Parts: sequence; C-alpha cells; structure tokens
Amino acid sequence: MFQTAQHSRLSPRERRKEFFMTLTVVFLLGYMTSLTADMMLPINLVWVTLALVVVTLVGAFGWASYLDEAKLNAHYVAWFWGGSVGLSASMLAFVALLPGMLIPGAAEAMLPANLAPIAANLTFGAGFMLGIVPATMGYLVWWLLLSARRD
Amino acid sequence: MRNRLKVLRAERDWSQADLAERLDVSRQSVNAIETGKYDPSLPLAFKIAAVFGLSIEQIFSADDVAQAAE
Repeated sequence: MFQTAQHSRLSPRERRKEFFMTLTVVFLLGYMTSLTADMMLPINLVWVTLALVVVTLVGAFGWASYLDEAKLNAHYVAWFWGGSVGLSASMLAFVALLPGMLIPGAAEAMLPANLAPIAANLTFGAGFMLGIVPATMGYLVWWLLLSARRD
Repeated sequence: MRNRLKVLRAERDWSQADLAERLDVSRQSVNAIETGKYDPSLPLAFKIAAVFGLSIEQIFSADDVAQAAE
C-alpha cells in the first residue's frame, strides 16, 4: 500500500526511467546468463551477439526516452558537429593513405619493417576503425564540452 | 533569446531543482535554458509559461526585441 502511494508520486519521466532501467538490467542479466552457456557452437555466438544487440538497442531507446529535450539536443548537436569533425579527420587519413592503397607494396614500404608483414591482415579492421573511431571520439568530446558548458 | 526564468524563480523561492521537477526535466536543462545556452521547444515554453501562470511573451523575448526595449 505504502509502496503504491510512493510510486504514484513519481513523475512520468521518472517512471519511464525506472521501467527502462529495469528492462535493461533484465536483458543484461539474460546476456550474462547466456555467457555461461556452451560457447563451442557458433550458433551460441550468434545468440550472444543478438542478446548484445538487443541489450544495446533497448538500453539506447530506453535511455533516450527518459532524456529531456535539452539533453537530447546536446547529443544531436554533439553527433552532428563532433561526428562531422571526426568524419573529416577520417577523410584526411583516407586521402593520406590513398597512395598506399593504389600502389602495390606502397603501404608496406611506408611501415617499419617489423610491422609490414601484418599490414595486409590489418586492412579490414583498420578500415572499419578508421571510419568509426574518429567520429565517435569527436561526438564524445563535443558532448562532454557542451554538457560542461550547459551544466 | 532572453528570459526571466531566474527572476520568476526567485520570486517564488524555487530552486532550479524545484522548477525542473515541476517541468519534468533535469536541473541541468533548467540551468541551460535559464542561462540562454539552450532555447526550449515551443511545447516546453508553453509548459514553463503554465507553471508560472504567465504568457510565453512575459517570460521569453527575442534578443533584438529585448535590446530595442532597453
């Protein structure tokens, strides 16, 4: 009875926050449980990955739904400007690395001799990181600065 | 955009947290609006006006309008 009365005093925003935090904890527990499963079969890896995706999506939607408009705006602005700066950095790096991609053996020649043999194996991962890391870093830095300025 | 949030809050002896609770937003958002670092959406501006029992124009004014009035 007391708990019901106390719960009714929560604002809609606080109730949404409570709901999505509970949901996220439930999915995290499910994910942690799935980690203890037999990981020898690839299908388990698929389920674990799916669980991680669900946790991330539910967490992200839940988190965004209880942010108020000024905080959401800070994330939009940070993603637009910080992300754009990061993507520009990616583009500069891409242009700088372009000769190495077009001329056979050029990339290996640009690297120290001990790193050259692993250069080919790094291509996919390095390309992926080159695209996502600068934009994410730009977003985080922009968001931190904006949040500090508004707080 | 200029606003009179700080004055109106002081008149009612409300803290930023009190106003944030009434508006169902965070204290940081109230601070950002109050200091002019974030302009609220129209729905939030209406909500702010309703909380103070005033019209939007009595709380918010455009920078050039406020300068012209001074």
